[in-house]
Parts: sequence; structure tokens; C-alpha cells
Amino acid sequence: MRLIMTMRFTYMLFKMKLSRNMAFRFSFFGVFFVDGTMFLVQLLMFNYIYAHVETIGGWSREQMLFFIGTFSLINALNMMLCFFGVISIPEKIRSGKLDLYITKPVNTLFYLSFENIDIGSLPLVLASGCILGYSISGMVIQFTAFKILGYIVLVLTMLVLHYDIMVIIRTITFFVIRATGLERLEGELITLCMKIPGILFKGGFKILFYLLLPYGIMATIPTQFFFEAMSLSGFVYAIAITFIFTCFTLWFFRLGIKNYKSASS
Amino acid sequence: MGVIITDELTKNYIRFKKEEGLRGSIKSLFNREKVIKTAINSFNLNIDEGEFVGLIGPNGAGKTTLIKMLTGIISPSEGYISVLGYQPNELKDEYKRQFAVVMGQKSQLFFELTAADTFLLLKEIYGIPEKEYRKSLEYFVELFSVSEYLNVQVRTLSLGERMKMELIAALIHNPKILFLDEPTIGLDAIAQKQIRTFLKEVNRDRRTTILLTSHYMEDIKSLCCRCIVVNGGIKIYDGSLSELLNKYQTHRVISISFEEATQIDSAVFDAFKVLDIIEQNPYKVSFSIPKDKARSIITSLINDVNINDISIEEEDISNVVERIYAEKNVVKAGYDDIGVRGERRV
Amino acid sequence: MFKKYSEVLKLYFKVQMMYRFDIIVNIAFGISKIVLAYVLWGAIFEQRDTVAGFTFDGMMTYYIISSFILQLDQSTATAEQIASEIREGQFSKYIIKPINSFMYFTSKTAGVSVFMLIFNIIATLVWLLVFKVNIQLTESIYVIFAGVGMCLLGLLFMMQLNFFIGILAFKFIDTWLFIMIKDNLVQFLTGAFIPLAILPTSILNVLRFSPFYYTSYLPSMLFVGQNLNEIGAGVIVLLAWNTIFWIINKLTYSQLKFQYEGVGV
Repeated sequence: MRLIMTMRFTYMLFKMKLSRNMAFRFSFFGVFFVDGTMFLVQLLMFNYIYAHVETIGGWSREQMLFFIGTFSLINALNMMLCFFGVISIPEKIRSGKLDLYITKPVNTLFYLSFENIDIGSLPLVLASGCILGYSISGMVIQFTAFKILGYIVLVLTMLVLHYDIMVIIRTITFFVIRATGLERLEGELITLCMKIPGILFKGGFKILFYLLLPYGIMATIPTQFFFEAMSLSGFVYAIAITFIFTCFTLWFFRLGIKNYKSASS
Repeated sequence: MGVIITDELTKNYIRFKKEEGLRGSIKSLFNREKVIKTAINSFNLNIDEGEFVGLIGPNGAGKTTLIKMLTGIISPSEGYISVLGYQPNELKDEYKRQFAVVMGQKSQLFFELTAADTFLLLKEIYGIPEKEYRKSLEYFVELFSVSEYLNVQVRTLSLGERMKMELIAALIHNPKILFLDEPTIGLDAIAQKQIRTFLKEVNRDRRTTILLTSHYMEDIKSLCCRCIVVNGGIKIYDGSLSELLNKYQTHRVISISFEEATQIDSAVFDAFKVLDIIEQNPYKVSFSIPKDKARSIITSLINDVNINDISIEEEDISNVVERIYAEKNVVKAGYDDIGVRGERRV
Repeated sequence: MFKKYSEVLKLYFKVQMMYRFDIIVNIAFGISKIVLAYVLWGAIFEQRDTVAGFTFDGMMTYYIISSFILQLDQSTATAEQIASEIREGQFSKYIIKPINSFMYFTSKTAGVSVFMLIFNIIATLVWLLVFKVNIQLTESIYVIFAGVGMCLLGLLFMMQLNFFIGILAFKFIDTWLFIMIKDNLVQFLTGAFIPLAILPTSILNVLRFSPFYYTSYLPSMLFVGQNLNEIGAGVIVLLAWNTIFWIINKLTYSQLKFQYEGVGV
């Protein structure tokens, strides 16, 4: 019953967002153009580097393509589902617009996250699929249903992890006036981790990108799971860290709401 | 049995002082000076089902803070609140389904879409069954007579029409309590009046308990039997509105503009016991005068000078507040203290 | 005649003083590109000594110098400012004043760049120490002079390009899309991600006719004493592109400005 209500609610949000979006035709596919060129450039970059070397940190060209495709896929799904909802949270906290969300009998975080579904990012999801398909076609590999299923589970898990970190950073706005510096930092670190497979990180970087701000594992662990003999430990690690981050996110957001000061009208 | 009960409710905001400049910023990293601002101070409230209560006070008196605590938007610092038996700040969905809040300056309508679109979303949010939704919508659309605006983009509506839509959006799930925070702000006189009429009707028809804040006496006058005056976070009056008006709203503000440069003899003012001349220049004068003298001074002036325009307004709420204090013999020091704590002394 | 523009430059230099904290944060973020290079190329150079003629030290030197030059280009922010002022109807203040709006915005950008230069030098020295790069600069005064000159021409070109994109807001609503897509492509074409020498010769031959080859890549190479034979061609290409965009801007501005006043914003 509750699930059906939530689904109907989400569908309604989606429908309204779609009709709102119709007003702006060109920017409808904005994410596709912007992120599409970004990943295209990255593909080119690695393509040319691999013209000079055979492997980077033990990864072949195809594996690297697969890694980029995976990151692109996670990014595209994130853009499509919750990116625009989550990035609007600080503004809603600062302006006091959050009042309207808090007083509705639905989960506040859920409402905020999914009211800006961006269907224009769908082509980007498809394009990511093409990158993945292309990279697989270039190599001999045994597919098993287990691998494909595990990969899908991991991608979805990493999607949740990405969402968690985004929300945590924006929840800080409840406690301080401005966290734009942190949002910039997030942008820089994601761009960095998009271009560097996690396996290349060592020492301090590894702790940072595997544990504290685990952007480094997002596309790396699914890729490893798909290609390498068996990395069950990676699988377990990904699930565990996502679980911890999700619990923290929910707790932290609730704490944030308790601390909400509600800027006056 | 009260539906809204608060006991010794208090809200403190903590602010940090920062010296200006980079040095100040660095200093404040280590050692911040706390300033506590009490927005609501030991507030007791008991409102019964079906009541229409007006909450008035000057800007910054704490009205909005009180509404925000009652709706769970912010948590109280101390004291007890119970609304319909719930603690608002626990933010239970069951509670949220039973009230609605309209804030004059925060719209919940999507400007790019029609009001009907927003209502459909609210239907899902509140899980209103189709039949009930149709019935409510019909009722309100007829009551507010807005059927022709229902399918028009919200951003093309006038402010008054938009506010009616806001009210429908708030009432569509048939809440038991309606909180209204300055609902008539910025509206023209006609729209204000219409909205007041609707609210009265809703209160009578649906037995909706309504708590309305405003800094216009006019709003309260035509709506509420009971009135609560707040200043500096403290309740200074709670009782019948007529008594408040008779006792404390003793003056009127009269503004007169002249067709030609005119000087009114100060003897006239003295004769009518005009105490406070607010503005005076050759073409305009405005002053405050005891209620019972208003009529006679106008009659007298109409005969004497060429009047272009004349208006009679209620006095500023701050005067009423001042008089309440005066009557209660609040010691001067105490008043200042409250004023400072509330960071407001008009 | 130019006094008013030098006043604008000074004014914006002073404005930056107010935002110095933001600027420092900005420059600190410049480290992310260098970290990227350090981790990625560190992994590649583990297996070999040179890639496309670069040693690891040479590669790091390239990234540090080129990101120094890229930081000086602040014209993207100006494009955003122009676009938003046009959208919000504030642009008329430039139209009604006896100034040339391109010159005004160029002076403004120059003011910001000059300010950046000071912090940038400090930051670059810090990066060199942190990453223990053994930097090898050219000793020829003539080459340094040529490199600086080319940087200035390159900055002027980027300014013209961004001015062009900025004033497109007279006609289009979603110019932020143009700006972001341009950023993605320009980062690749200027060699911010990988030194252009990595690219295949055929592509390089085409790129040599584009202005982006000369805005930061060639000056960076000149400073380390390479590609000296391309100085002449670089100056000619940059001058040509600057002339072309000067004409394009002149035409576009006079045409679009008319439209702007036409709608009476």
C-alpha cells in the first residue's frame, strides 16, 4: 500500500517535471550535450594514451573503455534520477522554501530528491550502454549470468553511494551558511576519479578515495568485478560501504532537519 | 479540549558575531561570540477546535516563529507543544495530513504549470481518494469562484487569484487546522476582502480551526473573535477582539490632502486634542486623533478648507502594543529588556 | 583614451582583493589537474622511461606550466557574467555609457588575471616542491619573450571567443549550455588533459591551424625549450584568429544589440 502510494507520487512528480520541461526545448537535452562531450573527450584522451602504451596499471584499453562507460552510466543515471533534485537542496534551505517540503506527509528527502527527474539524460544512458558494448566487443570474455547480474547490482549500489555523498555534502548547509566550497571540491574530485581508475591510487589517495570520499570505487569495483577472475571482497566492500554511507546520510539529514532554522519569508 | 496547546514554549536562536574582514573571519574560527536571540519566550496557548484565532504583532514579534514551531518546521528550544495530540517536531506523516499551512510569501504552486496540475500532485502527496478529491475541488472552486483560472498557467494569474489558488491547494485535503501566515500581504483591498470572506466560510462550514497571523488589524477585525497580541516573543494580550479594539485601539490616523497650499491653525489641533502630527506640509497633513473625535474634526475641516482627499486609517499595531504595556504597568526597565531581547523596539 | 579602461582594470583588481579567499581556494583546486597527471602518468611511467618523447619529469613540468597558463584565462567567468546580465536586463548599463563594451569586459578580465598571476606564481612554486619536479626551463630570453607574447595573444583570443558566446545571450536563453560544452572541448583542444604531442600527427597537423594549439600548449612547450620552430606560425595563426573574431564580434554585437533594444528589456 505504502509502496504503491510512493510509486504513484513519484510518477506524478515525473509527469509534472516533464510538463515543466517542455517549456525549454533546447536545454531539454542539455545534460546529454554537456556530459556527452565530457565523456567523449575522455574517451579520446585514453584512446591516444593507449596509442603509446599497452596497459595502465595493468588495465588494457578495453578495460579502460569499460571503466569510462561504467562511470558514464552511473553519472547518467544519477543525472536522470536525482541530480537536479539534490543540487537544489542548499538553495531551498537558504531561502526557507524547505518549509513547504517539511510540512507535507511524504518523506522530505525523497520528495526533494525526485522532483527534478531529467528525462533528457536518457540518451546519455543509452550512449553509456554503447561505450560498454563497444568495449566488450573488442575482447574475448566469458559472460555468465552471474557476472552480468552482479555488475548490475554493483552499478545500482554505486548509484546509491554517489547519491549519499551528494546529499551529505548538501545537508551541511543546514549547519553552515555556505558550503559552495565543498560543492566545488566535490565537482573536482568526481572529475578526477572519472579519469583515474581507482586501482592507480596509492597511499593517502587510496584512503581518501576508497574510504572517506569513495568516488574512487564507483566505476572501479564494477569494472573489476566484470573482468577480473573474482573479486568477491570488492563486491562485499562496495555493499558494506554503501550501507554505512546510506545509514549516515539518513541520520545526518534528519539531524539537519532538526537544526533547520527556516529563513523568514 | 484544546487542539493546539503550548506550555512555556520558548525558541532561542543562537547567532555568532563576527568581526568584519579577513582577520575577523580567522578569529571567529577559534573564538566565536554567541548572541542568543529569544524569538518566542515562555508562550502558553490553548486553542479549541473550530476557533478562528488572530495572532497579531509588529514585524519580528515572533508570529512566524510560533507558526513554524506549531507546524514542525523548526524545533522548540524549550517547553511543550501538542497539536491534535502530536508533537509537531516529530514530523509524523499522520500529523502532517491533518493540517495545512499557507505562507504569504512562499508559494507551493508551480509557476510554469496550471493550478490544477499542482492540485493533482497534492492529491498524491496526501493520498486523497478520487471521489473525495473531486468533491473538495468542486466545493472550493465554486466557493472562490475561480473555475476559469483553474487551467491557466499560474505565472499569468494576478496576485489575488494566485492566493486563492494557494488556499485551495492548502485546503484540498480537508485539514483540521489551517495555519495562515500573512495571507493577505501585498494584496489589494478587494482581494483581501474576498479572501477574508472565504476564510470565514471555510471556518464555519468545515469547522476548520484557523490560526492567522497578520500585522494588519483589519485582517483580524473582520475574521476573528479571539485575538492574541505578541511582541518581542511574549504574549501580551489574549482575549476577545472587541475588547482589545475598544480598550487599546483608541486612535485613528487621518490623512488629508489639500487642493491648494493650506496652513491649518494649530488651535484647531489643540481643540480636538490632536497629540501626534505625523506629517505636515502645505499640501498634506496627517495626524492621529482619539477615535471619538475623528468625526467632528473632519466635519470641521471640510467646512474650513478645500480638501482634495481624505483617508481614515487604523493606527499602527505598535501603538496598540505600547498601550497594552502601559496599562499593565510593565516597568519601564522590563519593557526595554524585552525589546532588546526581541531585538525589536518599534 | 585608454585611461578609462585601465581604470576598469584597476577597479577589478581591487574587487579581487575583496574575494581573495575565493581566489585562493580557486587556485588550490588547480592542484586536482596536477594530482591527476601525477597519479595517471606515475602509473604509466612505472613501466617505461619515455612516452612520446616525454620523461616523467618533463611530463609533470608540462602540466604545471600549462595549468599556470590556463589559470590566467578568466574569460569564461566573464562570458557567464555577460550572459546573466543580458538575461536579467542589466546589460543596458554598458550600452548607454560612452565605452566600448568589449574593451570594458577585456579590461575587467585582465584585472582579474593580473591578480591571479600573483597567487598563481606562489601556487606553482608550491606544486613544484610538493611533487618534487625537476623543472627544466629554457634559458633563451628570446624564447621566453616569444612565449609570453603568445600567451597574451592567446588570452586575447579566449577573451574574444568568450565575449562572442556571452553576447549570444541576446538571442538564446540557454547560453550556459554553450559555455559548458565549449569548456569541455577547449580543455581537450588546449592540451589541459594530455599534452597534444600524444595525439597522432595527422590530427596535430589539423590542430596547428586552430587557435587552441597556441593558447597554452605551445607556450608551455616553448618555456621548456621545445617546438621552437613553431613560433612564427603560432603568431600568424593567433593574429589571424584574433582578426576573424574581432570582425565576427563586431558584426554580431551590432546586430544583436539592435534586437536587445528592440524588445525593450
